[in-house]
Amino acid sequence: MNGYDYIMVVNIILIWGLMFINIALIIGGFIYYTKIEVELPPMIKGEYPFVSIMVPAHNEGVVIVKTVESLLQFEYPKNRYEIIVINDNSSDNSAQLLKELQDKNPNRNLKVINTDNITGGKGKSNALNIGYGESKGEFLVIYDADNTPEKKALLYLVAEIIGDDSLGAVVGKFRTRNKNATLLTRFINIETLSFQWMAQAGRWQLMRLCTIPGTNFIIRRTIVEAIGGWDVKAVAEDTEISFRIYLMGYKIKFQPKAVTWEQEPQKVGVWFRQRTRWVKGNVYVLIKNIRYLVDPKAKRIRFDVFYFLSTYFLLLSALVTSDIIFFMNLSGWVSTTIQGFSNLLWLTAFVMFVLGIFITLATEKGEMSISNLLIIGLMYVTYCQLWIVVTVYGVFQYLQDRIKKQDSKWYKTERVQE
Amino acid sequence: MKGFKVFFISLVVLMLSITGVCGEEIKEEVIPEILIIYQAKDSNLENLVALVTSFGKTIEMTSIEDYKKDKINSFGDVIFLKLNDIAIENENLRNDLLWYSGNLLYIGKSDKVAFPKLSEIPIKTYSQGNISFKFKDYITQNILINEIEVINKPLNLEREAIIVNGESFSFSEKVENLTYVPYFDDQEETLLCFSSTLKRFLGIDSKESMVLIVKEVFPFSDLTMIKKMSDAFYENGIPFTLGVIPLSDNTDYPAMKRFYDTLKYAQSKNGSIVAYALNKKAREVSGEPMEKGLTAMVNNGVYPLGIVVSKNWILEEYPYTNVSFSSGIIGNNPSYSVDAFTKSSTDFVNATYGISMETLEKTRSLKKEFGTYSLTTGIMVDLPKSDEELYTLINSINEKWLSLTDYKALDHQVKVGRNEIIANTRGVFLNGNLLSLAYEAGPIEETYQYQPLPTYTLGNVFNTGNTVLLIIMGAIIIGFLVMLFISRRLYLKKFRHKKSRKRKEGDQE
Repeated sequence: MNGYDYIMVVNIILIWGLMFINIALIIGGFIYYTKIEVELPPMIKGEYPFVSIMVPAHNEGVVIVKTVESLLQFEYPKNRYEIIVINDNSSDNSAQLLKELQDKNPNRNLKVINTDNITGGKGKSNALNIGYGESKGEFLVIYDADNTPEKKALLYLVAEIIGDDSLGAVVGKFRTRNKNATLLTRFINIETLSFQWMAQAGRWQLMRLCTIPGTNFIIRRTIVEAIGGWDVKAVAEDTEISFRIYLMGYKIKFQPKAVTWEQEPQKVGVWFRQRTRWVKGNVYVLIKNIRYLVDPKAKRIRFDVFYFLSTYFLLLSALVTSDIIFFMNLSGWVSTTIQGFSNLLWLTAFVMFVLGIFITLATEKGEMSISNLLIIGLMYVTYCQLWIVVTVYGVFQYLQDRIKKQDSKWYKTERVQE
Repeated sequence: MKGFKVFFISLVVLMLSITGVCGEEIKEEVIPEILIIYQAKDSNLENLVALVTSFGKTIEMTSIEDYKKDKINSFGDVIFLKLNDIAIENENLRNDLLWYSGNLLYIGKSDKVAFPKLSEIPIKTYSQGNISFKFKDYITQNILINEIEVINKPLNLEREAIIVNGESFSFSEKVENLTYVPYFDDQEETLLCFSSTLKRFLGIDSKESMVLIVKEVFPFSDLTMIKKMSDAFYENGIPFTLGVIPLSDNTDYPAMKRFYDTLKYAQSKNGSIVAYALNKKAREVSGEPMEKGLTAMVNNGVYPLGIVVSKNWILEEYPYTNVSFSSGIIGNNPSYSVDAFTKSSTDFVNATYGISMETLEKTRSLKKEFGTYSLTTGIMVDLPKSDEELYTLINSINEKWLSLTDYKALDHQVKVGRNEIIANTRGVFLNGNLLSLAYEAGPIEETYQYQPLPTYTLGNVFNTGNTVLLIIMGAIIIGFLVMLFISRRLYLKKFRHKKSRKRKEGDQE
């Protein structure tokens, strides 16, 4: 055995270890879904609390009207919620469209805050802080500007959070509105469903953990007050605020019945930039909170910190180094006594991947199809491999920003007319 | 900014090229002393070169066809090898030969056109004959040869003779600056006889020696036999040299430690060590990692004093870096690639010409003591395979009254990386320090039997892991299929039943 052998062993343990963690999460998600499918939806007993819905929007003219219209149609007492659209330094016709919407709905609590490049234009967190300053609600609900939530989504979110004082936030489910647009959106559709099954339902079932996804969630005003608003340096503000909620001792629950539909990137370039931002944001949060990995007071988030660390550093480096050593071994530059696992094992791993992901589509209408089964197989060799590239690039970009001591730029996902 | 970049890159490239130039070892240029003009690249040429090199002379070669005008005039000694009747067509060469005034040795068929002085030397031709040679104090055994040309002149008793069918003729004849040798072949006996003529032609007056060299010793040789042989040679007063293949891998293995220990034992019994790179296999083994292999030997108390090389290798590019030998033993192996010939030869300050034990046995000395040939020779023998072979060899040496020389006593200088080994009559020195070659029993016991160290690989762990993971995966897949089945039922219950309920409600309406 030589040094390369030891590196390979560590890599293999990491890769397979993380795979088994994800299998456990799939099983956890399955238990949670089967349980919630037979439960009645949460209902509000007594008075409906006043809720502020905040929609940060930057050049969202293409989608904003549809979003606000769907928010106006919530099955929730109209005088018990307000909609605050933060039109953040937009250069398109968003301001005009929003004005028209206000004029069309004079009796509704629809507030539009237009900012310029002095007061705004500093990213989503800054926009949310501006909106929060104008809000009155006991609870704050956030939607991205491309969302079309279902009519009962708000009701379920509010009912869930007021029914349990230990909950700091409740997150709903998001679906892909344009899933049939391109092969990429089909991949994203499957990815979002399986992510929510594993990372949201699975984690909630097994560890009472969830992560705010950035949209379609409700949070207590008291929490936002206590943490002093959103961290403007955080590019992935949702992950950041999730960690802060955990540290305050609250829980975040996943309520899959509160559904919103959102538009996903249809082009690889747009997708790549969006995911790079996510990676950078998550690396920022990870580094900011890495100390909690050994902090006895932060037991609740230890798993999440480890999960992020594993995903962005351990798994990534394991995959990259094992691939490098594998190819160096093939070319004779290094020698290892490691024998590859059998082809049968790799085949079972592939079958397991396809089956595992397919299960996560089971409860969604129309998703349990042969075409999706084939797409999952295709994802394994294409979309999943792109993840490595995105992660390497994102980590590199983050490090570059740190070396140059510059703040990460907030990349706004480009929308398309549907 | 762009200009700066270009400048910067140019600077880096320049620095690299300067470093490259400085990094090249400044090699002392060897000025060839002898010009050999040949007709064909064959074993005769190879043997001629080996003999000249054995006298410590450096060579430049040119073929008759490639000869350039006036080339011959740059040399004081020229050897011309042409063993057939084909006329010299190169006019420049013919003209230069006519006017050449330096020492000229012509070997081959009498060509009176190119060498008019040969008209003074009568030639006698035999279609077939039993020939033997007489040189110094030796007479060789008869061998049957077809078509022999000899110098038909009264024999000069002090010089070499060729005896054809019992009649003696002068082996060579000198006319002014031209020495003529009509007969030449690749038999070792012929070459030994020729070496006397060559020595006189080259004007060499050095003392010759004879050494015994045991060929091709390596870690898996019979180490017990090496020790036994060392003891036996020591008891019989026979100095010997071991040709050791330097290995660079696994030098920390017990087998290697035991091997070094055996070599140290041989050194203590008046044995010398030389690196052995004679045959192709040994060269491949010792090619690139020669420095590493020799360094391992030195670190383990084994001191190589020279190198055994093949005949044609002396004409190749010197293949080693950080390693140099002043002494070389030119092996008696047949050539394996005449294409490897280059124009100049590797020079050894102290060269030994390798011959076989069989040749020695075919040579009779007129004196009781066998004495030495006209050049320093190395009798090359295999490591005995049995006690019988060992004692047969010792008896042959004793019966021949061979006066063997301790190889260490000849002057040697070996550089291996930072180490310098010097050997002479005063002893063996490593980096200037006199070495004691006394043997101290090493940590490896006599009775130790080599057991290859177990190679720790992860193969078994992986095979087990593979099976375990397959079982786990299989179980997970079964679990997933169950989950899929349950999910499907849930799905149907949720959506299909909802659909049928809606349909029923519609029908009722």
